[in-house]
Amino acid sequence: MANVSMAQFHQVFFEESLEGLDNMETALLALDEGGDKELVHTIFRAAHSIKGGAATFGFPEMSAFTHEAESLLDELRDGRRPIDKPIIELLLRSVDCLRGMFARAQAGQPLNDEAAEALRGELAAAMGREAATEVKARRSGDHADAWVIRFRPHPGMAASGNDPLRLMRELKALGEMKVTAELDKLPALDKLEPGECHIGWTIELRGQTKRDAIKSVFDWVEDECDLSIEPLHVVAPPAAAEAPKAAVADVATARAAREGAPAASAESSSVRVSIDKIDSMIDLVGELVITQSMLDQFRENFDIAKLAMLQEGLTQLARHTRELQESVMGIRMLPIGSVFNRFPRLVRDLSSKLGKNVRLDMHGEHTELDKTVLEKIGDPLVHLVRNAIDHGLEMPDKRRAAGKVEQGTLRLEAFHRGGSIVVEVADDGAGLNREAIVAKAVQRGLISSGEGMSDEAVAELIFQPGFSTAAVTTDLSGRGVGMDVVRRNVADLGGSVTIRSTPGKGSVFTIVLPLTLAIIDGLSAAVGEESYIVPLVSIVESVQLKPDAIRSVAGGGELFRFRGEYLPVIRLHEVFGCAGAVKKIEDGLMIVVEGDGSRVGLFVDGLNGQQQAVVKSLEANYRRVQGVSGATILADGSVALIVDIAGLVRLQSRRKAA
Amino acid sequence: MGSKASSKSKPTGAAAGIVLPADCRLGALDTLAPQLREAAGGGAATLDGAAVEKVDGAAMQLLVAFRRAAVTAGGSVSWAGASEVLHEAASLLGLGAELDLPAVRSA
Repeated sequence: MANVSMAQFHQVFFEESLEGLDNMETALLALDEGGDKELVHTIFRAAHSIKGGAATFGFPEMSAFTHEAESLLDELRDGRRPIDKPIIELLLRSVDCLRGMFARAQAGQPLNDEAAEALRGELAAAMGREAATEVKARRSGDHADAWVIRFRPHPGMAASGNDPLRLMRELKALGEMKVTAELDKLPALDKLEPGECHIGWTIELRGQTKRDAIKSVFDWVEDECDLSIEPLHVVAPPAAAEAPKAAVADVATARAAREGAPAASAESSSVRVSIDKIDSMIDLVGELVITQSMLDQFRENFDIAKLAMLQEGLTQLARHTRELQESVMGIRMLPIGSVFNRFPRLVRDLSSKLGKNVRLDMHGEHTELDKTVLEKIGDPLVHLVRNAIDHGLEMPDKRRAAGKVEQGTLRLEAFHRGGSIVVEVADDGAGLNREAIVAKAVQRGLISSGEGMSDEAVAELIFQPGFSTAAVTTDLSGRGVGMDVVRRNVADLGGSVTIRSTPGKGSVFTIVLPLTLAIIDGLSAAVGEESYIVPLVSIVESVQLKPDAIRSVAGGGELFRFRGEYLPVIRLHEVFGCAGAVKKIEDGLMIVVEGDGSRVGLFVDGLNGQQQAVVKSLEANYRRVQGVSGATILADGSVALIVDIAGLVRLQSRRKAA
Repeated sequence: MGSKASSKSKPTGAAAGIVLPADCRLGALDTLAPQLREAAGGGAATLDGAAVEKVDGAAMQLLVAFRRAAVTAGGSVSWAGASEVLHEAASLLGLGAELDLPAVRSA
């Protein structure tokens, strides 16, 4: 049981420390921008807490590493050392390194790796200590706070003048020892040749010692004994290893997400809630109980004169339930700032790597978003920001030549619009290069020519799988695995991505996301005897068509004219095989919906009305069904499927291609 | 425990008393080993290590083997004294429990 409770503490320690690291990073970046020197105190405090926590919870490597950073910070704090770019850079890398250590700690892996060792050496070197040897730390685990040494002399070792006792005495000078003698090979007294060694030892050595120092003790007897020197790891209890892993999202998770791998394991499954939110919920529950007891009195002796009161009570019940629902949903809402926080660093690193001058402008960090959405929106946003810096913004000389200021601006903004959250990534760069995109698309066989294509249609091409126009493939972007994945990831969250681009002025990527994934606003549509929920966000409008509005096209598809363009028709009863559905166009209703960047018409029997649907996972309870994003339970207890518009559109275009 | 002399052995009836030399290292073991083998035959043996000034791993190993042999043969081993040096060696080699040195150290 002790282990379980320790694991819980570990989790809290991890969460707090990662938060501390975020704060450190933010403060370091602010310091880099010429911020207040007071920020050093903030950074120092964060480092100090992590160091203390790491030591308390049995992560000596982490504690030792942070100790080095803290010592450096101490010098900055006292003004013994000037705050300059190289130092900030070093400290930023230390923050990254610690994040890596936390990730490994959570996964129950050894904390130190080669990079951590090297960086720790650099920190020490920065302070002019043990620089030469520490920087050279070659192997992983060259440095540890505790070691296990297994030492078994060969029988002839003592005869060559090497006394195990002397070796032990030398070892003792390196730290605190716990020695266990292994006497299993010791012969009986009458068989024992006094000059032969038959005892082996296992030694736990504690103290800040390098492997080399230990090894040098055994230098003379290397060939006359079996020796192993391993760092002693404080093994995290299994419960800790299995504990939910917090979002230490690094590059690897970005890749995992891109490949559709289950990145969920890297996401944290706890949420911190402000006391205010909980208090307001408790208030609401109180109200609900009062309303319930008020309604209760009608159960015993109801007479028609009390009808008005009953109705009032029911209205109150409805209101409180709705408020409570909103309040509960609010628990999962977190400010998008936690995702935005990573961008100052990203922009700084990328722009300096590419030799560009970029200013990051962030707005709306306090906009709240469902935690699940928040965790999954990070990677698509990183992609868009990288693209904007790599492809969108020009080099300073080009900008000057184009009559712009040398410093490019990248704007990151989040705000509410209707029932959705809008996140915009805008740059004032060159905008999309129509010719390059068309040429590439022709080369890839996506289109035959760009003639007659609207700018929007051309822009849409960049969302095609495998599309990339980057002249030089960099390690940042340009692998052509970008935009289609961004769109798919956002679509998986029930959102959409669009682009507006003006040549010479820049591009704006707009991501529209639902507030929450747990409840959707939808229109309930009847198809045969079934009901389907169409998400309100995807609906453009619904129209009743005349029979002659439908055109059949070669290959069996149907089109109808809607505001100057022809849209394909998807008959829901055909897709889902519903019996008894309306077949004639004039008897049913066409819902124009938008998904995956294109519009289609959904043909249904009719509409039952608007309603909020609590999403139940179909995948978890049954299996994944194409064109269906989930299910919900209707007021009469029956089940309605929630239509996945983007999925349907993809299904439709695949059918078209076939 | 005034017996600081380098006397080799003092067979006293049933109990064998062995005084360890001041320099109790590999060179001395050729002499010490036969005494110990003899004393390990059973009965109560007493070791006096109060005079030990130098010791090595080989000697400590021999003492462990002796004690084991004596106990296996149904005898017992007690210490008449053990020097600081002996204590330190036992602790460094992780043999403290095995040798069961006396807590009080004789000078």
